[in-house]
Amino acid sequence: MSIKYASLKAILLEWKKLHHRRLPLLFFLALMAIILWTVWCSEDLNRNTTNDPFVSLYINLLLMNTILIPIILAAAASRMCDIEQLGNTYPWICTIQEPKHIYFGKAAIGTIYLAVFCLLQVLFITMFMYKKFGIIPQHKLNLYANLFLSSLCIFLFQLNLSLGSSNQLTPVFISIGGTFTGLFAWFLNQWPLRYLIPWGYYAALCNAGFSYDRETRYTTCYWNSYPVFWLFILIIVIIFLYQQGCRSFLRSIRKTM
Amino acid sequence: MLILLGKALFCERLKCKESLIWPAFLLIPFIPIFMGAGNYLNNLSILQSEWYSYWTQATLFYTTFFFAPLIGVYCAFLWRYENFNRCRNLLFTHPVPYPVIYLSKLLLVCLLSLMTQAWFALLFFLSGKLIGLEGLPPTDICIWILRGTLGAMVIASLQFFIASETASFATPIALGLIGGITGLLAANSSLGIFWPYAQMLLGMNSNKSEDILGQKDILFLLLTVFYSIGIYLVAVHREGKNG
Repeated sequence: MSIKYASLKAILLEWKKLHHRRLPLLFFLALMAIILWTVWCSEDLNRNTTNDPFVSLYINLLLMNTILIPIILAAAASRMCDIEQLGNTYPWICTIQEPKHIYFGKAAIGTIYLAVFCLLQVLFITMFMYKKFGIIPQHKLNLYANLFLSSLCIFLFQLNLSLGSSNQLTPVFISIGGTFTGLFAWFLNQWPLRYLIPWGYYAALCNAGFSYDRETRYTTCYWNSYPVFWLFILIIVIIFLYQQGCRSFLRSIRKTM
Repeated sequence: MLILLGKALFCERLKCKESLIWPAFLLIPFIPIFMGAGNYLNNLSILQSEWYSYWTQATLFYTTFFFAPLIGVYCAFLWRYENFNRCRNLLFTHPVPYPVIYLSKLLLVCLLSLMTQAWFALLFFLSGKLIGLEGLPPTDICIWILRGTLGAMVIASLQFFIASETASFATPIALGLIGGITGLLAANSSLGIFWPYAQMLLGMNSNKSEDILGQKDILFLLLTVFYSIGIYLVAVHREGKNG
């Protein structure tokens, strides 16, 4: 069996397992919350209060992802794993499918969901900016890279945790703690916290900033150069998490066989 | 019936013994307190109403981002054992009516919510003292805490209903977080009082130093009672229909 065929089969099998698990609904609700938040934030935005409304919404979008997405991803990862864990079906699934393909299937499905979810966010913000302010936003690719890669890193981390622990409480607690450490990282920019944890990369890869003048109540927004170095670091971490996760999954399967 | 309920409640309490619910209960409320205190100390030049100003900062994070997921953890945990190895079927074969089983679990969640509120109030007071606020918190804040507790019961009922319908542990928690954010958005609209997730925010007077509910206290009280009982009845009716 060729590698390509096996990979495709793993994805299809995982897709079938997730049938009726309502994962798309979870992502859809998260998207709706983000859209509502963005619309609410944009109500006070105009050319008299800021020089670039897009920067303001760009930062808000990343902030919302920091708060919402890690727990959504923890839920998604937990849901992908609990079907086998509840039924303790790994020993017999592995007699018909290679364990590394099972891991690949789960990671790939999560990646597909995230790719679409992040694309929808970028499409929404682009259309919204054009409709409301008549602006075609810049840095869309940067925004997509930031959203997708940061989320993917968190997803793989959560997937490894969920696969590694039979008690799903632990990954969820770690996710809640991580989410709020990520939120702290936005406000503590003088500390390197954002570069050290996966939840901090929404802030670490944000290439925009603003300064607020209290007297005039005017926000001056600006763009910084894109932190390409940290983008590469994040990609390396993603590759590491994938390989490490696959290895430890194989190890745990061998123990149960 | 009361004896049956007491016994069911006792059994539910046993299930929580030495579980991971307690670290969550004790540790998670520290996060909004840290964030609120940090924010308050960083903005002392604008926030000059002492306890009221500190209240605005501590409750913003607590009611919006922490409370609903935390209650989600409690609810998901109480259904978790029943989701393993078809324990739910076994539970329903016991000579205890489903409404009693559901009510016993729900009462435990409400008790945990009450304790969470009390723990948060204590942390708020102690941290207020630590950051140098003088005297005791004003009576208004005590009333807001009690009012917020009523709103918290609505969230607890709703989260518990979601957890009873979802056989996954993490989904109710994620939905709680989304609900909390929709609550924040709804609380800023005129009809926010009707949105269950906004009621705790409004009751606690979150992020506001002047009473947002104003003369709507009675309506608020009626709505919280209506939602709490309504959600319970819907949940019991649904289970009865599904068998």
